Amino acid sequence: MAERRAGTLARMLTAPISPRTVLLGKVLVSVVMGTVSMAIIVIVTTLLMGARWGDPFAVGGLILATVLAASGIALLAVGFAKNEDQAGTVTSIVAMTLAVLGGSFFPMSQAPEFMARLSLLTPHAWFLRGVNDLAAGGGVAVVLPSLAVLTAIGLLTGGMGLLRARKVVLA
Amino acid sequence: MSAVMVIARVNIVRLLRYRSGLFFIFLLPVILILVLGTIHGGRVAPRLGFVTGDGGALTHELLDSLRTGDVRLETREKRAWRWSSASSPATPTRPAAWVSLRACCWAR
Repeated sequence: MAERRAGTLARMLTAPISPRTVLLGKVLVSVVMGTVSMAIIVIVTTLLMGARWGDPFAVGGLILATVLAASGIALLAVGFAKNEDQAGTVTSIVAMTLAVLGGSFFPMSQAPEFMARLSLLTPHAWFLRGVNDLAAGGGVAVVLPSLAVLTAIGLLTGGMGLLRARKVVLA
Repeated sequence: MSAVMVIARVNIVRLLRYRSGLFFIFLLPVILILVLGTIHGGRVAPRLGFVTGDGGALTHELLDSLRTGDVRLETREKRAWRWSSASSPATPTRPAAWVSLRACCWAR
């Protein structure tokens, strides 16, 4: 939307590249930035706070899958916005709702059974489950269910978001 | 370099030049975690009940170990099995839907 406002989207679309390529380039940026941001958090908390995240390969995979899921959901949410302000509002609402439901603000072990089951629809719950399993000493095999679900969420929402965003780009 | 990579690289360079954006993406989460972690970190002390039963010598020894902190806590996942009434007890049919966790304490 910012590209459209600045007029750069129209310029890019005149080049011999498809709208899907433009969108994939944008998604790649958010995946790279999200992964770097998470990696910084892991490194800083390990060095300054003595946090034990567990198997580095499993943590890396979990971070990548989580960022993929977050990017997919964000892409899908933004696809329904009509301007930049709406996009910011929609993503904030979706992020906060999923964070609350996913157990980012309070442990799901204290929530009713229904809420605990509902939280499994969010990437936050699967990420936290994976992090807990790794911190308890598990390896890659332990986080495979979390990796599978997070990747599936990312591919599903990302695919739907790309289809939706393509219409917005061409509009 | 493919078109996707070129677009991504241009956008990353543009983002890196936008300093307030960098603050919110990279620095703010770290600052929040450090502040909240410093305030709440290491203060989680779950309460664990202990039934002494007959109060024998081993019980007192274990209690003393718990009081002095000279214990090792391990959790083991134990899968519960449901037995079919029709089949032999030696042949489990399928795992039950729930999994029980048993916490075991050993005095060192």
